Order: sequence, then structure tokens, then C-alpha cells
Amino acid sequence: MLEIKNVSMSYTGSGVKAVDDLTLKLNEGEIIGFLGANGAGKTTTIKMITGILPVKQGSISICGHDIVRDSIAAKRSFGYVPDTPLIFDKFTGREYIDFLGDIYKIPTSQRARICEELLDKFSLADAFDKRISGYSHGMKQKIAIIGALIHSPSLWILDEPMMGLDPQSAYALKELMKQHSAAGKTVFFSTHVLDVAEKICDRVAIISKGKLILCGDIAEIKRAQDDESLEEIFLSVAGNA
Amino acid sequence: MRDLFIVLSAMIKNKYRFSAETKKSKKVALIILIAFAYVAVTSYAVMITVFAGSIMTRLGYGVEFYVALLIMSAAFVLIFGIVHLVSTLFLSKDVSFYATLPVKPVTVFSAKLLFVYLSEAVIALAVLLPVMLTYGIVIKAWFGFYLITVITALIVPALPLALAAIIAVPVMFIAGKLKHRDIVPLIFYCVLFVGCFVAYYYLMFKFNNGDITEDGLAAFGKGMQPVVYTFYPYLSLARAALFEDTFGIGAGASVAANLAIFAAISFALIGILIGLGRIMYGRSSMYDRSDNSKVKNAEFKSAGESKSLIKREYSMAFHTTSTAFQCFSVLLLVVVMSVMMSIMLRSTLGKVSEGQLDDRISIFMILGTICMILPSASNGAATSFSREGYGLAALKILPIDIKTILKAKIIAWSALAVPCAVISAVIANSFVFDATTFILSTFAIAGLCAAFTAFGAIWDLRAPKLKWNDPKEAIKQNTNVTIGQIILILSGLVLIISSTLFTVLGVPFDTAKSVFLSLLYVYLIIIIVIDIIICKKAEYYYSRIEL
Repeated sequence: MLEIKNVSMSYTGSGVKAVDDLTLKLNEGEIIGFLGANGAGKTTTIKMITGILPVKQGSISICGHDIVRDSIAAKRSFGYVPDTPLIFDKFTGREYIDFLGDIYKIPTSQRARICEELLDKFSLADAFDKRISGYSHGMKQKIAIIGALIHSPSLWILDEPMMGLDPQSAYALKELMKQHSAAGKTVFFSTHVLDVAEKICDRVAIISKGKLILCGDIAEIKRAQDDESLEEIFLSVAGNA
Repeated sequence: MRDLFIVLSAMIKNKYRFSAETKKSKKVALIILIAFAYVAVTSYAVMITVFAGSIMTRLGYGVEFYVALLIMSAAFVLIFGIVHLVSTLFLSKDVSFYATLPVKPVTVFSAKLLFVYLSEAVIALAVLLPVMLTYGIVIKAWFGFYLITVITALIVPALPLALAAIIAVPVMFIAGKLKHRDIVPLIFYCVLFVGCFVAYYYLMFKFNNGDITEDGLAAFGKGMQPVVYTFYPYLSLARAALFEDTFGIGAGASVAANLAIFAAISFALIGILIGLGRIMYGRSSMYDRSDNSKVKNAEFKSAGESKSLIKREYSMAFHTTSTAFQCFSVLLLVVVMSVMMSIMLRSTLGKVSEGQLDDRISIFMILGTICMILPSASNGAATSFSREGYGLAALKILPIDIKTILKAKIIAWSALAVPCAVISAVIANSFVFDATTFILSTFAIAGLCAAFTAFGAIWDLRAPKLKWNDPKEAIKQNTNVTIGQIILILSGLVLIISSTLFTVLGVPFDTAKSVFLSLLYVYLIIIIVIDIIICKKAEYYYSRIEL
């Protein structure tokens, strides 16, 4: 589904490696949490996976498509929800979805069907035909989530998705993530909220100073660490990073 | 007072300081370009002052000439000031930021108004002082002329800024009630922009039909006599600076009285400006930025990939009123400038040649000038990636290749710029109609405009300025725009120089036509070739952008 091989990244003009020789493989139908302290390299990794940042060393492939060499096919395979919603203020929610629908070539009937369900889940129907500039952060996050799912992607990538969401919407999002994986698709998300990761992830990957320091099945990790909580495990492996 | 200067200093730094990432070479290049443009424009204004000022003063129209210079400076302040005033006081997005600081609202308002005033005073000083001081030297003015001119130059912006505030307040109220409120100031700015050009045309040509000979200037001075009373504070200032005995109480006493009148009216205008400014600033905090429009056509619409990208491009240009103004009003400027240049050059060349030269050649100078100003129509394209800022990530994650994105951006801006260029070419050709020149030049200018637009977009993609706090920085402080346009303007200058040579050397019309049209097509081919070369690197430019 997603294969990251020996990826390293330093920003231009900076000698520090934001991501250092990262290798990670995601399988179909799993939810994987990407954990790390601030500045650990989570967002940089996600930006390379999504094609926002160039992959200077190593390779990333999504559903068999290389993000550099076959970027269009790779991008068709995922939906992305950024930490700061990258959506257009002057559009209404519906215009934004129409824009993405046109880009991903989604028929209007499918747009309507997906939106009907998700707008209801996120209680966003009333604001859908109003300009995004008037939305709160949480509402922008919700429309970004709907936008990311409009083409039913095989891989759903979310960067700190719980930020700004009210409890009902956070719950709805977690349910959606579970539904997505139940349908045989993959969810990859970064988070600081370890409780969420513990509850819904099949696997977690912990990154520190750009390096992957731990990756595996949550149950197995916990057994290996004398049944400590994920928080304790995280602090022991990445706490001083 | 301390808080006032802290806030003012923050505003100045935030607006005018180079970003830390700007390379020193870029800063130096930008400063040199601005200095070059300033010296070129000022030198031209000084030349006109030396020529027209001396004649008009000798004919007894010194006061009218002085007032005309002040009106010219006021027009600059009015055009730039009104945008600045509304964007700083009413549409500014920093109101909520300042509201959280332990600073009195009146201090923030005062700092904002002072910021606008000082910025406009600098424009007025830059435009006015070299010209005025030259005029003083030309007419061998008394020492008080220089003293009065320098000191009062700082008060000159009071009249246009008060006028700007008077016009802006009702527009602001109307805009606040409409759904697409950002468009109202934009339309209003465009109307004002055109209005200023029409006023200029009225002043320059109504009285003397653009004639810059002695008779023409005399007619201009005579025509200006009633006009100067409309700008009474400037008339008082002119009378004081030129040491006129206006009231029959002796020149010295009249100077003092006129200065007192100028100062009193100016300070009253500053009072009006402060009052209206407070209304604008007060409204800005109540300004409801949310969309309260009713739901309409609640249906999904499919438009296709390219159309969606084009629609998005226009929407992005309306990110703020200021960006919309700078992207769209320049299109109008090309048409207005071509009309003005056509009338002026045709008239002037006709008069200068006095029938000895084939004045049909003036068409080439006009067409050359249009080519030179064409790049300004591509502001929207030339900043299309920079204006995205970090939001460019929203495009990068989409499954669309850069060529499709570029194509959409180029089509979006060409669709507006090319018709304007064609209108300009048609207007220019209507003054001297020659079928071959009309067809070939119109086609070439349309092509050039499209090629310039493509160049602007690709050149911006090369190294977009994505780090900005306010999207207008992506236009105003973008060296891509400046450098790209300077290259194109210098190329346009070649056409103008060649056209001037045809006129000076008395080249027959048909020969001039062949040479000019050949040059025009060579120019078009060169730009297209450059476009093709840099377009090949588009994918590389796009992939190396770090967000």
C-alpha cells in the first residue's frame, strides 16, 4: 500500500536531517499511527509521501506508484488531511468539494452520496453552502476530511487530525478511520494523542530526530515492554528526544 | 506616545522590511531597479518642468503651473492613498491582533493613520520635490520658495487623503452590506483609476489639445485659471511660494496670509481625515467576515479539471481586495494607457513635424509603447504561484501535473489580458489606419500578450515568493515580477527607439512598416522561444519547491 525505502531529507540551507534513512511499509486494511515529539520529522515525512516536498534520497511508492516518477497515479491513490487545512477561503464548502470532484473526476452523484453521509456525521450541512472563510478551524478540518474522502482513496493520510475537532466529530472521525480500514483500505495518521493511537491503531511507528526507532503491532509492543501503556513506552523510547 | 511609536514602527517593519530569506543580491537588484525607474521618471518630469515651467512663468501662468504640479502629486497620493487607507484602516486583518495587546484602540488607530499619512507623504515628497526645486531654479525663485515648498510638501497629502476618505466611507458602507463585498472596492478603485486618467486627459488636452508649443502652453495656462480655484489650498500655497501680492497688502503680508489659509484648510482636512478614519476603523472591528448569504443552487456541479483550476485561479486573485486590485486593474491600465499614448503621441508628433514628416509613422511609436506596457497586464500570471503562499501545498497533493496547472493559470490570465491587448492595438491602429499594419500588428500584439503572460507564470514558478504575511507582499515585494517585467520592458524599448529613429531620420512609411513589423515578429518569436525553453524546466521548478 505505502512503501517508504531509505528516505532521508534535509531542508535546503540546513545540514540537519529532518528525516534520516526512514524505511516503513504499510499494509492493506490497517490503521497505523505515526508518533513522535514536536520536530521529530512526522510532518516532513508526510509531506514527502504526499508530494509536497521533493524526495531527495530514497523512494516512496503508493499502491505501486512511485511518488516522484509516477506522481499523478500515486496522488490519485491517497487522500490527505493536513494539520492546517489547505483549503480555499473564497470557496463555499460545496464549491471546494466540486473542485476536488473535478480534479479526481468523481461524478456528481457520487459527490452527493459521499457528502450526504459525511456532512451529517460532522454536522456541517448547514455551513456547506457558505464560504469557508467564515468557518472555524474545526469546521475547516471537517471539510478537509470530506474533501480527502471524496474519491474513496486506498490510502488515507492525516496529519494531527484530532486538532480542533469537537468530541462528537473526533468520535465520528475515529469511526470513519475504522470503517476505512474495515473496507480493506489503509489509514496512516500522525498524532500527539497517544490514547487515540492506543485505541484505534493496529500498528504504531515512533520517529525521533528523523529516525524510525520503533514500529510494530501495539499488542506485541506492549507485551514486549511488560504491558506498559503506550504513553510509557513512547516516553521511554522518545521521551528525551 | 511610546506605544504609538512602537506600533507604528512594527507596521513599517512589517510592511517595508525585506524578509530575512531575501538574498543580498536580490535586495541590491531590487533597490537598483527602483532607483533606476525613479531616476528615469523624475528626469522626464524635470525635463518637462524646465521646458514648460519656464514658458508658462514667462507668460504669467506661474501660479497655474505650480498648482498643476501639486494636483499631479495629489493624484498620485489619491490613487495610491485610497487603496492604502481602506486596506490599512478597514480591510486590515491585524485588527484582532492589536485588540489583544495592552494598547489603547485610539493608539492603534493613530499609528495606522500616521502610517498611511507618512507613506503617502513620502510618495508626495518623491514626486514633488525634485520637480518643484527644479522649477524654483528655472524661475530663479526667492529663497522663501524653497523653504515653503520643502516644509509644506509634508502637508500636501492632506487634501487628497481627506478626499480619499470622503469617497471611501460610503463605498465601505455599501461594501459591508453586500455578499461579494471585496469586489465593490475593486470596482471603485478601477473607476477612480480611470477617473484620474480622464481628469489628466481633460487638463492636458481640453485646453490645448496636447500642444506643448508656446501657444499650446498659453492655452493650457488660461484654461487652468478657473480650475485652480477648485484646489484653493494649493492656490494659496502657490501664491505664497511665488511671492505674490494677492490681497493688496504687500507681498510679504500676502505670503503670510496665504500660508495661513493653506495651513488652516489643510489642518481642517486632516481633522476630517481623522474623523472619517475613526469611522472606518470603528467599522472594521464590526466587519462581519463570515458569509451570511442565503443558500442557492445547492447542487453539485461538474466543470472538468481545467475549468475548475481556472475558476480557482480567479478565486485566488480575490484573496484580498488589494491583490485583486493589483491583478485586475492593470488590465484596464493597458487600455487606458494606450488610448492616452495614442492621443498624445499622435498629436505631439503631428505638431512637431509640422507637415514635414510622414506623421503616419507615429503609429509605430504608439504600438511600440503598447508592447512596452503589455507586461504590466500579466501581473496576475506573474504572481500566480507566489500568491498561493504555503497554500501551494494544496495544489501539490493533487493528481495533476504542473503542465496542466500552468496551462490553467496561463489561460485564466490570457483570457483577460489578450482582449485588452487587442483592444489597445485596435485603438492605436484606428488613429492611422493601414490594413496591413492593422492586421499584422494586432495579431502580433495578441500573441505577445499571451507569450508575456506565459513567461510571467513560468518565471514565477522558477522561484515563487511563498513566504509572506500578507498576500500583497507576493506582488509588491516580488522580485520575480520586477525582474521579469524589466526584461520585457527593455525589449519593448527597442521597438520605441526604432520607431523614434524612423521619425527622426524621415524613413518612408512603407519601409518603416516593413522594419517595424519584422522587429515585432522577431520579438514575438524570441519570447515564444524563451517560453518554450523555460517551460521545459517547469517540472523541475515545481518539484524543487519546499513547503
